[in-house]
Amino acid sequence: MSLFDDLKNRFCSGLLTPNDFTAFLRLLLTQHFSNSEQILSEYLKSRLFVEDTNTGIVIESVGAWTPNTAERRPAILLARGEWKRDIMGIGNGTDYSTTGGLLNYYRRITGQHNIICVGKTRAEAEELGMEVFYVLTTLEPLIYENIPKLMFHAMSLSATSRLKEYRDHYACAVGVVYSFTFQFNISHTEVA
Amino acid sequence: MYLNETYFRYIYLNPTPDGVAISWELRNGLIPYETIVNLVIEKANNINPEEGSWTRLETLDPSTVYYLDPTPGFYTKRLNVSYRIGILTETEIFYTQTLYPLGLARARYATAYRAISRRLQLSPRHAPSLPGILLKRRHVGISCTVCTDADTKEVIFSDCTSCYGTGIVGGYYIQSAQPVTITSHSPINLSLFHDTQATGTVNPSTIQALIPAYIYVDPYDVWVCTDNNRRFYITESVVAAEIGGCPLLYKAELRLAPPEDIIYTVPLS
Repeated sequence: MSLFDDLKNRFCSGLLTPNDFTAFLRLLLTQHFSNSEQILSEYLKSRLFVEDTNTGIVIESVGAWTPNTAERRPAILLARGEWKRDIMGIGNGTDYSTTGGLLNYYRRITGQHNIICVGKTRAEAEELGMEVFYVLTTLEPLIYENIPKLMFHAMSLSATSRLKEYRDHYACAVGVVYSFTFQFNISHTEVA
Repeated sequence: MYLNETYFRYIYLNPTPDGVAISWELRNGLIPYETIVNLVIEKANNINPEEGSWTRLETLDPSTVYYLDPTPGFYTKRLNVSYRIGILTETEIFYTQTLYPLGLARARYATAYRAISRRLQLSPRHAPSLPGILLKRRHVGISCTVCTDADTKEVIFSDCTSCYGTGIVGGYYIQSAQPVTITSHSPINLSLFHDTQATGTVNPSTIQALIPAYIYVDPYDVWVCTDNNRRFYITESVVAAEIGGCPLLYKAELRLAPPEDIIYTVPLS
């Protein structure tokens, strides 16, 4: 099963949640960092991801409890940003078609994730940030081709800031923005 | 203490119970590091030495940053000796100015300095003293070409085995590793912490410590606890007490490096 088959299974099986997007980003990035031939930066080619404690780079959700790789750097940490609903034109999200006699509605959600790239030096954090930024930017057409309901854009790479960790680490964040639409209808159930 | 000497970033000459400890670091620039053949330590037994009165104590490798003169002479109110350090290139020798232990501080200050410094190096009551070794981080030397951007000089691969993420080949002055006992003022906390906003699971193992100032402590030097080989990055160091401009004590923040950090591959001898 390919990467995009995994993603399609996850994305087409129900209501999308922030966790789905965290998983989506983690799948993309772990896949990318698993093969040195795919890695663009010469300095990062030896930082190969493996799914155990010997990994050369940590790629995790920021909410994951990972005592075995605590504070191991470099790391890519996935943090959810704000989600908001987009106000849609005439009808306030009402699609005037019906399904089974029920009126259809739709909503569009725009969400944001921050991909925090932490390195032990400032330049390492920036190199990692650029790698992630370029990879996601260039993957956009492929994502759209495979998951048409998802608009996905890597939008920004933040300035680098210092983290007070064991060796004064540095972090920069890649901001990604996505939006998707879902349709629903409302059935009325009589309550006895 | 001499700061910003012509050829040196700093020079420290401190009377210790074991002799006069001389520590220094070369400055980048005026004399290219590659051309330095040796460093020489010379001494004269008075404080107004003439050119013929210098005796050569030792010839050292350029990567050395510490020398202990075990026979400084008799202490009176002050130590009446002078030192100078020479930088030997293939063609010339460049000397520092005449250097004095405690920089010719007033006799009263010098006596007080020695007394307080000695007390600090003995185990103080009510605070745990931990024996260790200080690894001085290199700031001068041959730039590492493996991990460093040639133009910006920034380290891009922090786990480099050639420079240990410092950007200078060798990383630390290993031959000059000095015994340094610290006094810890806070217990080490090894509990994990979960920051769900930015850094994930982290292990903020920080201690506050006091370090006797008979050597110069820079941020990012490494202190190795010899009892258990735990290695700490010194992330902050400020002079906490001084007499007559001579630092007596550093207040430092040390952070424990996790076991997989490259610093554990640095040999101690």
